[in-house]
Amino acid sequence: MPYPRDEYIISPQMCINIVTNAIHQIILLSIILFNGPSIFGVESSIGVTIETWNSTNGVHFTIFFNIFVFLQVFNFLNARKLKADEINVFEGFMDNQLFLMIVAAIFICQIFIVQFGGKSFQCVPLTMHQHIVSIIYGATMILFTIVAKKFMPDSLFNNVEIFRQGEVVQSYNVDGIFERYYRQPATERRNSRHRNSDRN
Amino acid sequence: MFKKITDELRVLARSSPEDKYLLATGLKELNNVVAMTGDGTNDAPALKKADIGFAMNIAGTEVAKDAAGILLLDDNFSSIITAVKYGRNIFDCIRKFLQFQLTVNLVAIFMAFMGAAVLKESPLTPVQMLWVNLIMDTLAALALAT
Repeated sequence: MPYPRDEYIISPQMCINIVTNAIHQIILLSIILFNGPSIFGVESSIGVTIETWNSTNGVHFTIFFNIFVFLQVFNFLNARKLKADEINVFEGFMDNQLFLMIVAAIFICQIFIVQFGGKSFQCVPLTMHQHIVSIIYGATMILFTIVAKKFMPDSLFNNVEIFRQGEVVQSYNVDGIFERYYRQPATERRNSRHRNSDRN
Repeated sequence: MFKKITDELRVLARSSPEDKYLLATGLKELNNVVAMTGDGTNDAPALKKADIGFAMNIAGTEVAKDAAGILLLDDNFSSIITAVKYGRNIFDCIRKFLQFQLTVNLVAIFMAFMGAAVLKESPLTPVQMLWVNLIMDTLAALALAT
């Protein structure tokens, strides 16, 4: 489909994606930040300064950092498909070699940084189990986007102006001719009427 | 009346400049995205009215070139398809990058803010933040815009 000249570069569906993904990440990271020690059975890193930092009280924030990066890696995959009807983000995944290489490089670099970052990155080497749990937490990103795209009702978002989407209207008009056109949301139509009156 | 014709219209022979202008205007009224191509002086109003005008570079007159948005350097109609492909591709790439970038920024800013407000320290150290920045700027642009 062609894009109209005055289309916003951030479409309403993108606004929905950005806000839902960000809320999901914020909630997950807050849980790790405040309940992380009890979930992973490690010492809390809250209040640790660079002087008192050592390899036992730094594990908590290392896991936090690890999960943060893995969330972004899986968000990479989400960003490949933006429309609401594109549920499968892996479609054509193998076609782009550079994309695969970059994602693999980030994965490897991240694990290297955590294992060998040491005091400069304030990273403690994690166990295999902690790494896998971090990746699983990151992968919830993809699951959540599927849920947000497929199961969240449109009526939830249509009350907010930046989320409101136009719809394709199909009908028979007064002359009995089949019509199909894109109906813009009310505010958008009001704005365009305003623009037209300015021009005249 | 225009709506009735426009669905079946494929070729319009011996059309005057007014016809071309009317066609572009009518199609825009029906919420279509209109691209117009032409080379003569009489195409200029339609080229200007359409969302985007393609003018021929070799055969075209100066008036048509001025009115158009894009010049076809090789006077080849199939170049229009190339232009459309490139245009849509770039638009999609920018959107993908923006979606990723804005999500990361929202989360990073919120976590840093909450860390400062509640814990009086940021959970992510500056060096870690630099690595996250490398991921979300350089690598994201490379990966999502190819």
